[in-house]
Amino acid sequence: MKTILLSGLVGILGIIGFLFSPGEPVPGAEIYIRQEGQNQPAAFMQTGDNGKATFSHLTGGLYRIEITLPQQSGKLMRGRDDINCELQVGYHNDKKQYFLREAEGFFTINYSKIKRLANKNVTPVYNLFYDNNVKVVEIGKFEVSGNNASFTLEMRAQKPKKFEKMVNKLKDDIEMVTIRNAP
Amino acid sequence: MKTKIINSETFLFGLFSSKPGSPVTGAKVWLETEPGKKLIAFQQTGESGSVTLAYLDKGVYKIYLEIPVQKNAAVENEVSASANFMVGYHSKKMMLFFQNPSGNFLVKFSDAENLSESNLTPMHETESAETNARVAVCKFEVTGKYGKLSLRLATLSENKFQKQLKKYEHDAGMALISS
Repeated sequence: MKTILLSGLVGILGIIGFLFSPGEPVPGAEIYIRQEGQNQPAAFMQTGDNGKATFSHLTGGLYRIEITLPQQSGKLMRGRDDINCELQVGYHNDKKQYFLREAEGFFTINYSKIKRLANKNVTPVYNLFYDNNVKVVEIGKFEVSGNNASFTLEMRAQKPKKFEKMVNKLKDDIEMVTIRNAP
Repeated sequence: MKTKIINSETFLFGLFSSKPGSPVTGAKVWLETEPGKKLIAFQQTGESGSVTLAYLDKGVYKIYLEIPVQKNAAVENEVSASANFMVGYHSKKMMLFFQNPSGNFLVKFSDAENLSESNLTPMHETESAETNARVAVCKFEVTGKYGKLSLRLATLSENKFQKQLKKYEHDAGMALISS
């Protein structure tokens, strides 16, 4: 009986969480995991319809996370120049949520199911470069302290106004780090 | 006290659940769409020899492996690379056994979620005649929302490989794909 009630509660919370996850999932984004000092990526995954990618069985070492940004359009770009938000790149340490505003759109990247990463978190970074004319953004680095580390990444595109609202709500939060302001 | 009990249980479980073979590190695993060969995921195996592929959209996929040459390899033992090698699949245990010039291998699939018939179609197709060429080891169809599949690649000595095949040869789920 207790198990049924608990399962039901978990299910309801899951549905609520799903309904209130702001933004739209970003399919087709390419995620690269590169180990320090290695030329070839340790892992690669293209996000599917739910905008998620998971990486597991990672061995000890330092890694970098690089992503490509699929161009957003329509309501996800409407009013992009009319928002009152200085932040271009930021990270909320507690929510493990990365905010990124680029010409391609307004993105949030959430990390979850983190296992065996040092500090149980990803260190946010922002480093933009081009690889064979494809724009790539390095968004984070992390250290695997043991073996078989894993994490899941969820990429969502936000409407500009929603992005502004989310950022402004968190900007004074002690856990919110501004990595770069819009030039 | 509770921790001690759990620890001893874990220790005993570890003792009796030893996985056959040694994990292969540094093997490259590709997941591509079928048809189209669009790269969806790539990973190099770590010390556990394992890879998990998750959040897969509906569709048909193929898994390719590029395995570093092992110590027990046919090429190291100067056996002709064109010799006939054994390939077997145990559908209930989701274990694929194969021999090729790189060595003797076992791929144990697990965590299958939302796959057609909860299983995969085993295969052993090499892309070229090179020793460490990519080998397609299976294809599968994701039918539900967000498919998932894990695999563990292990290398076996010739003796252990034959022993494993012998152990399962009379099982209803064991099929010899080619020899």
